Amino acid sequence: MVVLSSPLWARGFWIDFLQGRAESNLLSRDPERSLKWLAYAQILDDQNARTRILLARAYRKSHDMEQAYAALKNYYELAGSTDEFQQEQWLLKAQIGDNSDLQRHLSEMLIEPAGSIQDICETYVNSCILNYQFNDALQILDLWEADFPDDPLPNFMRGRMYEHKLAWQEAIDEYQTTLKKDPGYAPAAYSLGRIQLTLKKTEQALVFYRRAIDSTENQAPAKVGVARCLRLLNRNEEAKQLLREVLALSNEQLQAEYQAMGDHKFEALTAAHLAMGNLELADKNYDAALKWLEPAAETNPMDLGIKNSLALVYSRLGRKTEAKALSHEIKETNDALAEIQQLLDQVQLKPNDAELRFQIGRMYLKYVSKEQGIVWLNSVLLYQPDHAGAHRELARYYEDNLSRGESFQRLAKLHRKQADALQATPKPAPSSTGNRDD
Amino acid sequence: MFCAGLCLCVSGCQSETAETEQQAKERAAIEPSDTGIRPEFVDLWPEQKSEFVYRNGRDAKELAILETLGGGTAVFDYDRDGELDLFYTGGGTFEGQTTRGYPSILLRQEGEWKFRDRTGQAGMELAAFYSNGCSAGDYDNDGFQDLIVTGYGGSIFWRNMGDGTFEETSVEAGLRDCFWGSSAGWGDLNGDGLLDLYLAQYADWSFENHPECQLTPGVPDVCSPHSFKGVRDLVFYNRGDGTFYDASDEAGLVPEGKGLGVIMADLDNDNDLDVYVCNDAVENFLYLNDGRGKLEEVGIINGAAVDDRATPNGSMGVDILDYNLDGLPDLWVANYEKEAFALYRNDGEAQFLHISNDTGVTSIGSLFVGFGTVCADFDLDGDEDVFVVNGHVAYYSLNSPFRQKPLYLENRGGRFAQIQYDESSYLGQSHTGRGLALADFNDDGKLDLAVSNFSDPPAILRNTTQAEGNWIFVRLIGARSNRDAVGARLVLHTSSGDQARQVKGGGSYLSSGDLRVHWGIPEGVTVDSLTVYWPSGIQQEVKSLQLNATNLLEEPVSIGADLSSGNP
Repeated sequence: MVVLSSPLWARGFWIDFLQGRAESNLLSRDPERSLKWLAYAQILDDQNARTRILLARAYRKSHDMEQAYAALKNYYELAGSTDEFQQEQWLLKAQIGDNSDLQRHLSEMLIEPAGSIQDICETYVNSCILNYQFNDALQILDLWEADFPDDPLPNFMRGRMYEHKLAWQEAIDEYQTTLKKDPGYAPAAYSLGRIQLTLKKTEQALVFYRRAIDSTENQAPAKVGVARCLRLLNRNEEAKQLLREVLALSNEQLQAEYQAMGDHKFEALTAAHLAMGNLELADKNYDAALKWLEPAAETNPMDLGIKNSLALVYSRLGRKTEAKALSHEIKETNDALAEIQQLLDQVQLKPNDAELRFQIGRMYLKYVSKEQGIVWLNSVLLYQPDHAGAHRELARYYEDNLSRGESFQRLAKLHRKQADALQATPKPAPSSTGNRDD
Repeated sequence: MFCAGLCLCVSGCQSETAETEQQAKERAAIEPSDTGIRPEFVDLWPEQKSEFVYRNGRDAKELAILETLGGGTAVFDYDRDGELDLFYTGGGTFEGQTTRGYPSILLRQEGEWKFRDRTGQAGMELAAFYSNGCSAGDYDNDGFQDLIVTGYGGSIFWRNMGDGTFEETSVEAGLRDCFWGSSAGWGDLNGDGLLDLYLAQYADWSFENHPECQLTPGVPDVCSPHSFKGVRDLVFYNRGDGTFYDASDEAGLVPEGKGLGVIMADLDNDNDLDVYVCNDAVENFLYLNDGRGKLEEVGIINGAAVDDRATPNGSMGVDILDYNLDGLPDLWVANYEKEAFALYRNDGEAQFLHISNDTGVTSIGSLFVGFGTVCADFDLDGDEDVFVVNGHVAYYSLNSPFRQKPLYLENRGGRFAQIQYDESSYLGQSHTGRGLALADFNDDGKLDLAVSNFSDPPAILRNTTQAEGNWIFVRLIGARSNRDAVGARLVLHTSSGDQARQVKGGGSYLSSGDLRVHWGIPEGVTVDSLTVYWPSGIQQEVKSLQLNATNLLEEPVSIGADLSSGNP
């Protein structure tokens, strides 16, 4: 390797070069390639603070929060609490939903950014979406687009937000604008395919999925979309063939490809399985369906669609006890979802109500999404830092996931300590809502 | 510029959860029938010169969810003169924090599509409650169909006296008490040869539980069902002495749904009557019967409770059909907007699979709010098509209009295509559709429809389709089985394959239809025989059936009968 065989005197030059390539890849939103450059830089100098902060940023952009935290900690040990450290820390917190620091310091960060303004905006918008702060996200996106009119990402992110709100036409318009700015922007074509399929416009969905396939090496998500379309066109065998191709990929590859399209890792590990399972179910091949659905349910035990298909397969195979157990979970989850919707309506009227946020967080954590649950529970502490229930639930969550890294261990300790302290000193009867005065 | 603007925007960060409703601009395909025959219907209500309208009390400005259900219609020959008659529920209003009922109407058919108001002569002017649904059934096996009228605060049970009049016997019969009955279905659930009653109940709205709501932000409107808890359905078993008892516990009914539609049919082909209940925004119920009246709810594990994303729908109207001609009754459910109407394929033993996506049903878009629905062979092409009446529940909806067009879905070899109509047709006009019942008012073999709208006049839709096929009607008269033969399964054996039908209890929405069983027989197809599986367990083979006529079949007296039957 050229880099490794370079003379020692040129080491500084090569590290600068590698860091520059890594930064360039980060700007073009390719964190995986950035990580490769940084790995070379680490070989040359394992104690380089700049490499560490870039590593933290690259890991954050590739959604590997444990590694990002570790790299940032390592940077702190090398360089101390610099402005760059603080900014990266706020961005890291925001990426997992706690955007309080980022909100507080956003103006100054954008005036004097330590990294890329686009990165700051993107992270902020993502955190707003996680926190249902759509207006704030939209405001930043408008400003971002005004300053970087050729950047397709503000339109793409606006599209994601509208899609999240089921505002299909607005989402379609934004994705179309994204494609006008960058005709090869595969995530936009993929998203358009997904919306068209949701709207049952199978032929149009096929066109966009095929465009996504033509625009990217990360073809697995769009291939699953094509398979779903083919099923609706009664072309089940072709659909199965396509899914077999996807299912032959490694989990790591699938995760990378789905993340590149903007999807969650659970989607990567279950989408093709569920599609194949449903095809076999429709064809009355129940044993074959089971083969795909059981692993999918294990990977994403909260997915209602998977649970439902699996319950049907168990029932048809005469495994009624298992089917009934799943049916109870489905019923319970649907009841919870209905209740969550009502709580979300209430929290819209009373955004400072910590108790409402706690109930939402607990229900999300149990029934819908661990990540969403954690975001809501963290938001409780924003409004009422001494909320014992929120600390208890967070402690339990991090304790159950200690193996996920040092940050989880630290947060488990932190919340357990707070929960125990609050339990030991019972407070006077709480006010009706537990609101924070602000 | 960016930073200056930013400093303003970051001054506050408000959470929000409201979803801006976006109307999906969906366009349904305009396609002719694959046979080249276009089903056509003409509304003959205007010729009746009747002022009757179902009124929901909107003018009282209470914006109560009670206003949304609308009314139903029952088609039955109450005086057994050979002509099908009509009953429409009247609705009600609000006065001083109470509800008040409006009279319903009984229309006697006096030939050539002339219906006369005979409410007074029949003694049916009582309007004790705010009424919603109605269902006809011969509870005492005397040959004259009786009638239950459902609604808020209680039911009215009309016993048919057989002389053109009815007697109100709700309290004596034990059928008065309920909270809020919507659809009702008659059927012999415990196999004793007597019709029992399944009464779906809706929600716990009252003036003490009457929140203010907005479905469109800033505009007061009726509340959604999410604002209320459901009320448990009721089952009344028939003692055979003119009275019923509440058998809800004995039958094993589960806790509350939000019942709007109910159908009773043999869904697992085991010769007893099962029950399917459409609930609003919570899981639908599928009750399988052990043959002795004990019901087990298996909706989720048998695939009929939710859609293909495991989400409960706002389900209103229901019917069964055999869309793929495999001999198994499939379920058809009319749902709320932004949800697909549901077609659940029966894969045997009442194991259902939601296949709306696979059968073209979802291509109609998701703007309809569907209520009354029936599945039948309107164009005599040998398969069952689908008819739905639609109308919004919200007075002010951003997504789809208050008045909506009816929907006709043509079955083309197991896939469905929407037939579009121009504005000269009733089907090309928008209405406030709710109740819907199937009939053949003029015995021409082409199935007609009775529609109950709300705040608009009803409709009597004469089928004027230029169909070229033949047809067969069969009317079953039970002996050991209940006289209406609800629960009987009939398989017509033809040169192009078997076609299964059932005598159903309930079905559609707030309504009940003609008990006769109908088949369209396409040109060139010959009928070989008919097998009837009576609810009593008796199986009857009928070798000779008259085409283009109603064949009256009485239940034979012995099990395993192999009888031929001509017409009476």
